[in-house]
Amino acid sequence: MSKSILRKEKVADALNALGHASIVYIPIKNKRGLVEYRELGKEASVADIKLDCKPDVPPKAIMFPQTQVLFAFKRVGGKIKLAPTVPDEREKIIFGVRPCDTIAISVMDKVFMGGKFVDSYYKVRREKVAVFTIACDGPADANCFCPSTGGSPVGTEGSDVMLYDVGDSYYVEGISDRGKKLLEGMSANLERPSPDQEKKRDEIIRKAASAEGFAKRIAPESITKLDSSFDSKYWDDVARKCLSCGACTYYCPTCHCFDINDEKGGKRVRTWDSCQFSNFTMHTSSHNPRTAKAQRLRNRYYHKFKYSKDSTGRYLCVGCGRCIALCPAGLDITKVISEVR
Amino acid sequence: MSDENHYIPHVAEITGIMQETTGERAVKTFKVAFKDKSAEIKFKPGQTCMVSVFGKGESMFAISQSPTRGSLEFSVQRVGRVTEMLHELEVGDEVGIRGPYGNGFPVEQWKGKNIYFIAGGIGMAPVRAVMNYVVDNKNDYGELHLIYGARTSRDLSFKAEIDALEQGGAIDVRRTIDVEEPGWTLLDNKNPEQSKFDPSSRKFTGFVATTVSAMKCSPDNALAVICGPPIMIKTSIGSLAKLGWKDEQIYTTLENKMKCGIGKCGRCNIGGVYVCVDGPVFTYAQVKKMLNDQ
Repeated sequence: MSKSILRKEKVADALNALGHASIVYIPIKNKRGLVEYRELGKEASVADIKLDCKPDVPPKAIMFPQTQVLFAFKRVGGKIKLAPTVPDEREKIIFGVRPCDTIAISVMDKVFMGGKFVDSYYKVRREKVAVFTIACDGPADANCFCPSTGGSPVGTEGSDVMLYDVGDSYYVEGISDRGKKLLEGMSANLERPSPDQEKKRDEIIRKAASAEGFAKRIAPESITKLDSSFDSKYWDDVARKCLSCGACTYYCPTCHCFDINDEKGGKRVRTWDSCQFSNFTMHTSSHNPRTAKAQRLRNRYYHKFKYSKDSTGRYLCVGCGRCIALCPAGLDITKVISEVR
Repeated sequence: MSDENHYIPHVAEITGIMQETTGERAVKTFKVAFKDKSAEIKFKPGQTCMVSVFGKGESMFAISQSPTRGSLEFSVQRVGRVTEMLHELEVGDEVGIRGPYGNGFPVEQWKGKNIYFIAGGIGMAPVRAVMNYVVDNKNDYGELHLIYGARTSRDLSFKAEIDALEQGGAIDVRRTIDVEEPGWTLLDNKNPEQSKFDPSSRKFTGFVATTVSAMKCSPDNALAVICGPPIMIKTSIGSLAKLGWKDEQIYTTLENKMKCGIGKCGRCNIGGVYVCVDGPVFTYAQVKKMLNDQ
């Protein structure tokens, strides 16, 4: 059953079947009109599932919560007692993830589980997550540029299960062993694909492979230019528009900078932070290596396209284009990198 | 590496406090012992630890004592939220410790070399750790020198310990201060090379870099360890360069704001280098190759 058909009217049944053993997250439109992943049964119902667009908010927070208590501490008789946070051991499925966001999870895996130290908080959550990716039929919207970052609208990297929209059904394919096993669990809702459906799925892959229709693009040679443009005045020009609001980092599926603080009530808490904020790198002595907006902006672009590539072999950008869509100043990462000088 | 939880510190008790200097930016050395003996750490001179004051937060500090001395110590200047609270603590109070982090000084590679330890202000903390390590393994190394500067004579830390090393003949010590005091030989900061250097004088008024120039520190079979404020590091390197030192012979420690200490939080990078895991010890040759992001 590694390749099968899930009829669209059966998605609800299939999700409910998956929900017996796992928490299932599905994309829905929230009250503010943004599409984001919510827990099925608790915060979302199947009727609200929104699979026909790239969600506005990536599923990053499921692995890496925006606020996370690392441990609690209290003084008992003058002595410190620490209580580590009990890890969330529940199996989770994120359903309907776009290929860019799925690759982003692989990229984050390298950050948090690669290198000399493993981040146990991330790892515990990540290992419980299975990803059901829904392939895109070309660019999902006008800001997409995944082929420029090594991705593809039909990329399977990091996926446990792939879904292709073949009209009135999803063509479903188990990618990982875990994904194949999960499909077995929902076999009651699956059918054998017809030759026509096979053809439609192949057509989606063929079309996507040509990387046609993408309005946004970063030429590889402009990324190479970063090697020699660190000290360029160009960054001052780019930074003039930037408000240092950090929206790009908060909506980015791979941005992972964080802060750690002690909160009232005896909690040490990790929260998302942004390299775009002026106090991000400020020393206690008040010396600040990245005081200027241009330095902070440059750091983000270099981290995405150079530092990460040099150290892990891959970009820290997956071409989802959310930073383009959400930047209040209209900064466009594809333009910024393409015009580097 | 193991999947252990790197963010949870081990509780340690303060077993000794030494008031090194007083004033607004006082320095205290804290000796700590883990409550749970199995939490004890092995470290190299130059490595760092995250020290928690629960309720205030945690900050990264250089371990200021050599592993050869059998105690874990941090010398802390009072400058911010965490350090102010640390300075309020007393013997018997508890803190959190996690680490050690960073690369440490490559003391094994240094065997047989003459070493100039050059420190300014609180930069003496990591220098003390590596200097004491080298002194404790003196047979492995050549001639040892310490050039240690502070704003005034009252701002020099580890006084008794350094006096004892000097009197025992373990190391040649030169102290410098910025503001003239009686009994401190005046050097000419404007013309350091022309400054008369009296080898019998141990105390100078002048910048650290000036003293380095006046002493004519020899690069032959030698290396230098420079820690201190950025301007002091820069000028001291300048002095050494004029004396024929190569970039590879000069070691320094960098510091940046850190939250995780394990290369994740994205804060301490200089270009693609994470100071917390790739540093804090770098040769000047390595520093020169870094992007201008400091």
